[in-house]
Formats: sequence, structure tokens, C-alpha cells
Amino acid sequence: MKLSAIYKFQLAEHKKSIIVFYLVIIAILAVVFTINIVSVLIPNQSNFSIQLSGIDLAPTIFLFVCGLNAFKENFQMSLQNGISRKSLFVNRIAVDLTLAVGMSLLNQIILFIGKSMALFSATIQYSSLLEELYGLRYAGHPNGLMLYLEIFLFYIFLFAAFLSIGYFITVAFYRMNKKQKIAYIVGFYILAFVAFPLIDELLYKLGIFSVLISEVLLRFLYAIMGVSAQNPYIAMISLLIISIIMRSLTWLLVRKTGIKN
Amino acid sequence: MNGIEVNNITKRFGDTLALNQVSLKFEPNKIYGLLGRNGAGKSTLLNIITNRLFPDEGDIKIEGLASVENDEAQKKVYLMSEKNLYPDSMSCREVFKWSLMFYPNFDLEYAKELAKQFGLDINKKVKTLSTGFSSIFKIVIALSVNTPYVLFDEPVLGLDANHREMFYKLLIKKYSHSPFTAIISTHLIEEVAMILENVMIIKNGDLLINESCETLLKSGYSVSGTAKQIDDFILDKEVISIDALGGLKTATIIGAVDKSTLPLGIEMTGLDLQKFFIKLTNEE
Amino acid sequence: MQINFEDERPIFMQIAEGIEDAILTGAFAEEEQIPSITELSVNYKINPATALKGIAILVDEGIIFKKRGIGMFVAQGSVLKLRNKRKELFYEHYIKRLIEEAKKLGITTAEILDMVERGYEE
Repeated sequence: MKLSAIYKFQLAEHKKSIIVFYLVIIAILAVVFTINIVSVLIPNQSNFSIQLSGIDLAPTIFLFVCGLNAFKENFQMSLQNGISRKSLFVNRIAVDLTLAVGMSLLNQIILFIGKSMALFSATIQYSSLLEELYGLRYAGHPNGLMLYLEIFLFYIFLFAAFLSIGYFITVAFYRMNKKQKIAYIVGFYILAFVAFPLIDELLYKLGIFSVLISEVLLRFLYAIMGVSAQNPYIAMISLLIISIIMRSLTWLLVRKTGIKN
Repeated sequence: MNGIEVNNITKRFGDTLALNQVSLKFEPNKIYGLLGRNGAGKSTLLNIITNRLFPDEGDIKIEGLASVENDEAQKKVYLMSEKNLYPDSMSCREVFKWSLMFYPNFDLEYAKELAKQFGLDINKKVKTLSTGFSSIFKIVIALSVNTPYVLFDEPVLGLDANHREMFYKLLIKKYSHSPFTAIISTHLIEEVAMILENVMIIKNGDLLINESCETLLKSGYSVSGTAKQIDDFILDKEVISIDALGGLKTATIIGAVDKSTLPLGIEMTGLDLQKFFIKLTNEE
Repeated sequence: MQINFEDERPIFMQIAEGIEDAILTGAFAEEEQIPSITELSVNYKINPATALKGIAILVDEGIIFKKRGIGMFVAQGSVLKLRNKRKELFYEHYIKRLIEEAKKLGITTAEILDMVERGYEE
């Protein structure tokens, strides 16, 4: 199959930033490793230990930001080159899937390096996000094939979901004028960090609700992420649903978007 | 069905009616002038043809294919717009490279050659180009893209006289070697009139005139002579403008003329298009 | 040759007459090649269809002929042909009006001939 130009164009945009990102990650690992070797060489430092956990979560944030930057230029380039919104949208999904799978693979390599370092040196502890979330499931098998496979799958879904969320936000912002944008940002902050905690606290203290809403939300999050059931596949399904919802909303917005002057 | 057919296109932006039931046809391998003052609706029409904006009413067919959200139709058309849509951080060279990916008939060598002729440094980033060179950069792509329909929106914006002349000559050269449909949107009628085969004039979203350039030129004439002679001559005629200089007068008249009725001493010249255009598109 | 937009004559006529002038003055000799449609239109910044229309008039009159794949050439005997044509036009444009005006002023044929002779001498 011949890859479409708009697929290649969108993918090419990420090449440089991905390289920079992994250079930074590798640099961090190298620094940690060096410090570790130095500390071993120096006597009386036997208590020194470094804990590295959740480095594998960093690409999620990175891809979220990628999603946030993935609309305007590509949209304008599409229209300049006679590519429809539909083709742009379909190819964006293809690009994001490529990114999710590719980054998940790279993630495995980093994880393997990290774990190898931990094996090599007792003062480094390296664990993945999955081991944190589903500790019981993987207890005693820090290097099992099952763990690697499930991490690989889990991250594809996680990355895809965060790419869709970032993309949806930027498309929504593109559709808004300046006033609307400010209203939404300010509104979101007030709602999430002022109004919600206040109301939550108030309702609980006044005895209207017997539990905190935030507590319920957290439990809900645990449930959909399969933490309660200790099953990462529940999380994958939930993340897939989130992706699908985000993509659908995005399409509703992109469908009728015109060029701005 | 060949050509681009525009059927009853209406477009509103809030309360403003940008295009009002505009219908016209662009035939293959002709050079069209789309004329009108700033904000008349020229760019809106071009943006609708190229699927960048959606019409509120009406439809457009490109060689029989619906224009809206149709890659098959859109790959036959290239619009050089006033606004730059290429990524700011990209170099001209990279944009050329990508243009070849999107348009398989894009002539990369020709584009480089043109850039050299215009003195455009293709290693420069798009965002660092001055208004003039930004126009040149887009002109170079438009002349190299080799689609059957090429739309130019204010192509000579910011260009000096020399570069303008180069553009017109290159356009004619390209056109006579391998004909295509060119639509040139501009408000500088005089400069392009001799290149155009057909002229369309838009005013406040309405299509006022859609004629061959030759017919348009024949639709009127100018006369000059002494004030008395001219005043007598124009009595029963439709005059669109009068310029007086001392005892001399020049009048631009709409209508045909019988040369034998022309009194001695009155000199006749062709229609002053710019005056005609200003008169037509002036706000009442 | 000059193409003038303000000229009352259509541009294709101006092109045709411009080439005729060039042939009459010898700038384009008989049997010699003349510029192509592209060269003409690029040079004068006019639509190639307009240039073609101008050339077509000359081809129809047998002033110019086309050689497929090579170009356009001035036909043998076209100078003579053009001279005759222009002489006819000269009579139509100048002599007729001259005589019309002369009649108004009461100038006789002899007087006109005198004037013409004087004009040639000066």
C-alpha cells in the first residue's frame, strides 16, 4: 500500500522531537548509572540508593503534548494541498496509532535497559507503572515475559488515549475565538481547582453527602483502570473507549472547520 | 464535464453577505481575471472552490466532481492564497519537496530554476520571507505545480515592477507551452487586462460582469477634445467619467460608436479599463 | 512595434498590423522566420489566444505560412501584397477624407496636386 502524503507529512513532524525526547531519557539513565557507579566506588556510602519508577510514564505526557500541537499546521497544509478534512482525520488516526505502537516499543527498550541496570546494581530500583498499579499481579515476576507483553499492550492504549485527548483539545481551541479560549481555560481552572474542591468539602461537612465526591471519583478511576480487579485489560478497554469518544467529538468539530483569516 | 462550474453559491459571515448567488463557469485552458475591490468576495469564492470554506448554499463541480471534501476533485486545483498556509518553520526547499509528494506533477527542477530567476533563497524559512518574497515563493509553487487549474489570489502583492513583469511573462510562457486554466484575482485590472481572456467582476458579493475581455474593451471608448466639443458630443451618451484639464476634456463613454459621426478635432481612444472598473465597483 | 492598450483598435489587430509593418520595412524578410506565438505573447504580455488571432489574419491573407513543427515564415511576395493592400487602405483612410475636406474648402484638383508636390519637396 502506498502511504499517503498527509500521513508521511504528519509523521515526519514528530521525528525530531521524538529523537530529542529519547536523548533526554537516555541521558537521565546514563546520569543515574554514573552516579551509582561513583557512589559504589566511594566507601561509606552503602546506604545510597536510587529509585526510578514511572519513567515509562514520561512518553505519555510527551505524546499528550504532541497531540496538542498536531492540528493547526497539518490542517492548513492539508487545505493548501487539496487534502480533505476526512483524509486528514483518518490519516491522523493512522499516525497516532503508528506513534502509539512505535513509542510503546521504544518504551520496552528503555524499560529493559532500566531493569538491566537494576539487576546489575543493587542500589538501583527500577519499576514500571504497571508494577505499581497492578503490584499483586506481577509480584515475584519483575522480568516475566507476561509483564513485558502486557506493558507493551497497555502503553499502546494509554498513548493512543492521550494523543486523542491532546488532539481534541487543540481542535476545540482552533474552533474558538480568543475570548472563548480564555473563558474556557479560566473556567476550567476555577471549576477544577476552586469550585469543585469547595463544593465537595462543603457538601461533605454539611452532611449532605456521606462521602467526598473526589473519593468516589478516585474509586471510579481505580475501577475503570482495573486497579481494583488487578487486571490491566480492563484499563485497556476503558482507554479504548476514551479514545473512541475523543475521536468522535474531534470529528464533529473538524468536519465543518473552515480556514481562518 | 470539463471546467469548474460554480452554481448559485451564497456565503455569509455573520451578517455580511460575502457571496450572493454567484454562478459562473471556468472553461479549461483559459486565463480568467477575477476582479473586484478588497473585500468584494474574490478570496471567499476561491476558498470555497478549493474546499477551504464551505458554502451556505449552492455547489461547485470540478470536471464534474463535487468540490466539497473530495480529494479526487481537489487534486486538480491549486490555490495560491494571500495567506500563507505552509508551516512557518519550514524552509522553502522543504516545502518544494513536500509539494512534490502532494502533487506528483510538481516540477521540482523548474521550481528551483524559477526561485533562482527571482532571487529567492530557498534555504530561507517561510516565516522569514518579506511580503514580496512570500508572494514570489508562492508564485514559484503555483507555476510549478502543474495542476489543470491554478488559482492566483492577489499574486503580485508586494512585488516590485520588475518582479511583476517577470511573473506575467512566466505565466504566459508556462501557459503557451502547456495550457491550463488560470484564474487571477486582483484589483489591478490595467496590469493584467491584456493577458486575460475573460473578465469577471464581483462587487459586494454579486457577480456584475462576466465577459470576454475583447467584448469588455469594445463596450466603451474615451474621447478627448475641447470642453465645448466634448460637452456637445456626450449629450445623448452614457458617460462614466469626465476629466477636465484647462480647456480640454476627456470623457469615458459606454456604448458603441459610429466613427463617421465623430466630429473633427475629437480624438478617440479605447476604453479606459481602470476608470470603467472604478466606476463599476464604486460605492454609490 | 508597439502594443497600446488605449488604442481603439483591438489588440489582435495591433499585433497583425505590427507584423505587417515589420514586413514592409524589411525587419522580417520574405522566406524568413518570424517570432513564435509564445515569443510574441511573452514579449508583449498578451494572452497567447490574442496573438494567435492576430497571426491567423495574416495566415488567412497568405502573408504568413506555417511549417509544422518548425515555425512561421513570411510568404514569398508578401511585401508586394501588403503594399497593394496598404495602398488601398491609404486611399480609403486618407485620400477620401482629404477630398471630402478639400470640397468643403473649395480646393480644386490642381490645387491639391500642387500641394502634394510641395509636400514631397519639403
